[in-house]
Amino acid sequence: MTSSSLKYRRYLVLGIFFFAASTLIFGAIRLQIDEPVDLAQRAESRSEKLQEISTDRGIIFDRNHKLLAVSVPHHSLQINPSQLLHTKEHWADIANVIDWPVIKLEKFINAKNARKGEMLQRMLSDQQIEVFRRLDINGVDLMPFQKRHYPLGRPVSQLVGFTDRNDNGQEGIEKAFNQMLAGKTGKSKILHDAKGNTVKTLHVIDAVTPGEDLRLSIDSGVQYAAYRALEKAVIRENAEGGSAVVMNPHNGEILAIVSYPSFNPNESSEKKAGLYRNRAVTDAFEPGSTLKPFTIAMALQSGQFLPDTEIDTSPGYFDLGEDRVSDPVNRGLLSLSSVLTQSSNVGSAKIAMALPYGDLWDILESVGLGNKSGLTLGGESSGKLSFHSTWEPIEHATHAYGYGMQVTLVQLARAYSVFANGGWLLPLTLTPDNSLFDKTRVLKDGVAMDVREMLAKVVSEGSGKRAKVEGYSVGGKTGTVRKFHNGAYSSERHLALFAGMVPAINPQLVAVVMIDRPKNKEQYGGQVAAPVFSEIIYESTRILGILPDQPGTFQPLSPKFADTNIFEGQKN
Amino acid sequence: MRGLIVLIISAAVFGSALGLVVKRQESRVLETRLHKLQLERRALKQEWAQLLLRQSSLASHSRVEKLARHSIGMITPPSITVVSKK
Repeated sequence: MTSSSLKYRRYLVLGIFFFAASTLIFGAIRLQIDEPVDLAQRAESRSEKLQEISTDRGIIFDRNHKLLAVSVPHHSLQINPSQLLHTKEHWADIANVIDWPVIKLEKFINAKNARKGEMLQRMLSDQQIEVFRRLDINGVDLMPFQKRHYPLGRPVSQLVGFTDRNDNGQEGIEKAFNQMLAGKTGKSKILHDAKGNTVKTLHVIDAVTPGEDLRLSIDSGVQYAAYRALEKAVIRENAEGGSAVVMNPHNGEILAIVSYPSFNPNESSEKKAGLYRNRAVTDAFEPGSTLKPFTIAMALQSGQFLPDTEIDTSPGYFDLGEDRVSDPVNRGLLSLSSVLTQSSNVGSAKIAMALPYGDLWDILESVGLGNKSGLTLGGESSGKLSFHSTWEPIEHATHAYGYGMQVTLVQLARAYSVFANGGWLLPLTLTPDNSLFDKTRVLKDGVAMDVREMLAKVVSEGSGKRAKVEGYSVGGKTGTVRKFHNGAYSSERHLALFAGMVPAINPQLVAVVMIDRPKNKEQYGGQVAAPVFSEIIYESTRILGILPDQPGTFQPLSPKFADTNIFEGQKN
Repeated sequence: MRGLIVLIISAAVFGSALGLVVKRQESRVLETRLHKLQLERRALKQEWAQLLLRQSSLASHSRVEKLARHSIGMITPPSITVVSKK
């Protein structure tokens, strides 16, 4: 080879390299300048995407981890009519799985031929899903969604509430604890490969917060028993409705809270706004005679009365200006304890009037009346207790026997717990986290004890005899309240009440029952509400394992419970 | 001497570059696995929810009561004696 040909080859090679390099540089510059944004976006969109990380709504349990509410995934059937229009061969298959005549499906598809997505069936069974997956027809989609189930149904529906179609809490616990139950959907920017697998999380935009499960203080057995007893009573008494509360007086835990009429939260057709109300929490009423034990407690607490101090109620009435306070008959000379067993309005009023206005107001306020009870439910009423400086003399008298003020059933339960637990006021709770609560002493231990003994007498020998539960001592007070109707107290419209505790001297349970407007001949609290209390307590003590304090042999009352079935909530 | 240092440093650079590649690959694999496990956890939780629901309908008071009374003929005893042991 000559040196000139060597040189020539060298320039040739250099020239080729130079040409290649400048082409590359030119190409790079052109891409950068001409259409840089578009390309950069296309590159990123292939490998990066925003991903939503959804979370399931938390489960609601009762205190024994029995299921009260749970979200379960289901699939609905969606079809694309414009696509299916051209694949008639699949129509018979589709119609067959959902049990439609083919002609019906044909009409459906023809009617909606321009649409791209139409729901054909809201909920598919597992078998149907399997068949559709196997058939794998283009234009047929299985859309996943979550549905909330309430296996206990009616007995607990006002308390637990329900969610809307998007699983947001609408009523009750579902609404009050919505944030905690729902959690929060997360959002991340991720890098994925061609198959769609996540390769790397580039950037967490919103961290996902899983929905938390919630355990309530409710015992579903007690709740069920209370609901059945209430339902039976409302039907038997031709009443308009009723409610009941069962609680543990030592830690403020609610064990059952029921209202009737109720609804089945699993059936949207049964959801009517009027039935959502948790009456025990939202409805305030005049407590009537069930308030008298607090007047007695005030008297004992003042030190100016003893349980056997006598009050002259003759002649069975007295007048205050234009108003008259009266008993049905002249009960004559009554001890403090008999004022309660015979439920004397005159006696209660006279006791209150022997002491300053402020004393009565103080005791009523201190046991939680006129204030919310500590429950975190929406729509709770605080009742009504006006300040004593605004009272007229007659109001001082009527407050002593429960008129001129309003309470809710949960307030009444909480107030009776003060007697049951030896004088402490506790906040109520629906969750079993009883380690931290502020308790306030509002009655002397001895006063609470004296009142408990009197309440036991009301049941053993007074108006509350039908509240008796075999095997147990029971203490409590009846109430028959005239409802305010058309501007006056009606002599026909009543509320029948019973508030009590068991066992009477060393109480483990407090329960209150309210029956709204019984329409049979018997309308007194002792006739209408006391038997419901008895039935609820009979079942509850057995379920909760509370030992009888009066052992012996007796007839169980259970066979009556056999016939009705209220658990139609869950079928599958 | 100087050549040796350059050699060692080059080897170290090459080694760490390789290491980086290996670790990035590992991290991808783990990331993918984490994602899969998260999906699996959700699926299992949903299955658990379904099983809970089935269990609660099988154990519902009304069903148990119906079975006890009608299928196996249990009755409420006519009387109960309660004794308390001190």
